[in-house]
Amino acid sequence: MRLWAGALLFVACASSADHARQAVATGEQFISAAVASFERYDHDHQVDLARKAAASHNFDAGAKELAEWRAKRAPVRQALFDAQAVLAAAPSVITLCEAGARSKGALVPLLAQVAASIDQVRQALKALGVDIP
Amino acid sequence: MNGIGIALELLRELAEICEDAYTKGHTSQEISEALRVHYEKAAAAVRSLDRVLADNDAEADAILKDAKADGDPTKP
Repeated sequence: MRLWAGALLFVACASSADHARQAVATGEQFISAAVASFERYDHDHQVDLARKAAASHNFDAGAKELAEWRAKRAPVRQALFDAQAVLAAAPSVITLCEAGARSKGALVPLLAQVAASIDQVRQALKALGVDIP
Repeated sequence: MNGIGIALELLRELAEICEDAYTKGHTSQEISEALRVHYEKAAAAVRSLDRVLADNDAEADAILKDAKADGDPTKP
């Protein structure tokens, strides 16, 4: 597991709702930065492919390359959705733990999920060659 | 763990939490509200990303379309 994920788990092991919230906030910041990088890269890459194809008048090849890129980026979209779903659920889980409706031990698997989903985003971005924030 | 694995883990966790919360006196309305907020937040984030990606697609397609409409000056 990545260093970042390890640090998150370390925080989770403190079993403190405040620490868990802090870790989730860090995860949210990472995902926001990842979304911004992905959107920017997707824009620049597509425009670059289209301009090159237009300049060389290889319109059909350009359209094919764009379609291939759009298929290739799909796993990043899915990974971001998964991470956002986990992060969106986290505050509710933490609140229920705080309210005593759930053992504080539940914070550990929750934040392990946050770490795993963020790692998945990292891997998906890396596979596309997108700079990881 | 892949996306589906994470989603299943999350659902399992949420199901356990809901069961515990209900047993310990939280109303089903409170629990469903927490879940609704969770899913709406995630769905809104993905809708926003999809809008940007669709704009990017449209811009790239327009570049190709315009260039094609201008024709290929190297060919007769």
